[in-house]
Amino acid sequence: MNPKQFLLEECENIQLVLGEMLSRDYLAGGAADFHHELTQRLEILRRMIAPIEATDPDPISLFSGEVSQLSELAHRIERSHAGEFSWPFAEELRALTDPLCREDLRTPGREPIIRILAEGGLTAYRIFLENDLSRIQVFNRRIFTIVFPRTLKHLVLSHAIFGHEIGHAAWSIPRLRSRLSGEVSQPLFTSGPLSSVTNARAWLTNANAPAEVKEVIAQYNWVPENLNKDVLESWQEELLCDLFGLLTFGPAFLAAHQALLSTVDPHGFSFGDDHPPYVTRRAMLGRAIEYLGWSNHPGITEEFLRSALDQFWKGQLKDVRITGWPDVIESPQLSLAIQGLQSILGDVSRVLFIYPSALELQHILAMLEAGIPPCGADLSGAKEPHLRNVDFRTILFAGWVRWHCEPTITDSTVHDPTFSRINRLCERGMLQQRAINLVKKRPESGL
Amino acid sequence: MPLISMYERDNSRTVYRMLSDKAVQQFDTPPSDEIDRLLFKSLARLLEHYRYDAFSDRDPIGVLDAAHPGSKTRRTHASGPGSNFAAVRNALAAAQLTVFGHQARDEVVEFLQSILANLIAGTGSNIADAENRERAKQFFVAFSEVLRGHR
Repeated sequence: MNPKQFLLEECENIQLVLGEMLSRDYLAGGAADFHHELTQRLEILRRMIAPIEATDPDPISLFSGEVSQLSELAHRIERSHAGEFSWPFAEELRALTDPLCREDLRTPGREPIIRILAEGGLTAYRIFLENDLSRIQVFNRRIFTIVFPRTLKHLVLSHAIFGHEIGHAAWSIPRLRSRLSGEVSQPLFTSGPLSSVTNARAWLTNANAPAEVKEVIAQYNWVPENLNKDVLESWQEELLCDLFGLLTFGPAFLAAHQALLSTVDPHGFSFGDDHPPYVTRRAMLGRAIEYLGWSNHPGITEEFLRSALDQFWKGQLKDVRITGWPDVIESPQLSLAIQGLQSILGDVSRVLFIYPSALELQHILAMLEAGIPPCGADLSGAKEPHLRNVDFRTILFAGWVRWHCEPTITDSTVHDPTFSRINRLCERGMLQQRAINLVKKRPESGL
Repeated sequence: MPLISMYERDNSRTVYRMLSDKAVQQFDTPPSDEIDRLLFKSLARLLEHYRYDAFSDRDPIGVLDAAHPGSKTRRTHASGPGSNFAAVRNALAAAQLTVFGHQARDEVVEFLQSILANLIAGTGSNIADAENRERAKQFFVAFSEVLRGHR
């Protein structure tokens, strides 16, 4: 069997997998789109492979990569069975990403297809973007594959970390990247340690750098030459995506970021070619919170609520060092970057996080306290219930606040403040909110 | 353990030479079905990246992937940092200069994308369209020739 025959045989195998795909229960609403897209891609590959010479190394090498990538995509989706992840969260994620990441090519089929799957361990959170222009890329719609850690698949409170990954998705859209670069990245890195390769190398190797950094450098035999333009750009992109996560998911992003990253890197001083030290990321987020004023509880005067929020922010900011070596971005730079990002996100419906009103937070926290899934339901018993839209990010924020604050009801039969219980309530609240939104959309509902 | 290991190749030059050659053929013989028309969408996508100088061959690693100093980014796996897409970017710029002179890049990309959109939709048949289509075809001929010169 020659290489070309083998590639065409593999195309047949992929077709079989695609055929089986339709008989399974995938995320509601997207399976047909996805099947159509993959079938088209397979046919394109067949047509492009057909005329090549059986053993011509350049196209064989190219198409072996292409066929393999299609096979991997089909395999990933084969495993994205509905029910194996939090689908209310997945639907919210899709609703955020879809309008933000549309391609503008003057042709139909602008929306990405967003697929979700749960696999891998604690660090599996990521997004596959189809962003590699060195591949064939003859397709109609881009497919974004969002990956949850399998064991954390229903942990919606932690899934707020996906704000960061959506930042990467936005960065992959040229039109958005241009704006993000000019209005966010440039002000953010106009000066300071991360403004140039030279400055970054000097910062890491500075005599005043913390002992923990020196240990990391010694342990991995790291030399300043390892930090090149690519590494610096990657670090800058990561910091931008952290800011993106904060402005899209709000305080819940900070809480998820802290819980997950401080578990993976408890010292906070490790770094790699892709990510800067965690302490630096935290310092930037801490400064951003100061600028946004969220920790001052904007618009909230109720003592009970202020006390609950105080406990949340105390927990979140206790380890943030907005000073010294980790603190690489000055407030004026950050302010400009936040304003730029707010302007970009504000142009897309529903993407920017809006800090909830006192009434809204109070309502959601009270439902959590009573062990009721938090959502915009009307529990007053009124004959004509007043159903409200509650943003899922408010539910996540309230979930984290509830986790941080001291219990006010001590009866354990009513109140069980374990993290998993709060999380479960929040997930169910999001599910019920979707039902409320569907009812409110119906013209005859009058709600 | 994998069966074989090798450095990842930068295929961008091969990819776009192949696609532009095929596109040039289809400017004269318009594609008969949706599948062949998608070729033009791919080129419209490339032009969008050219317009904003936003070339990439990198999927970011996960936000929690514990990396250590010296671990290599996906970007540096190919033929070397910074070299990816240089040939493609330069070929697009050379083709632009050859066919459109010093016309602004935004205008050139918008013009080419509008022609490609017509081809994807299967519309555009009057004389003005034919002239514009010929100009767009010349762009892709020039693009392909420059890429071929880099072999």
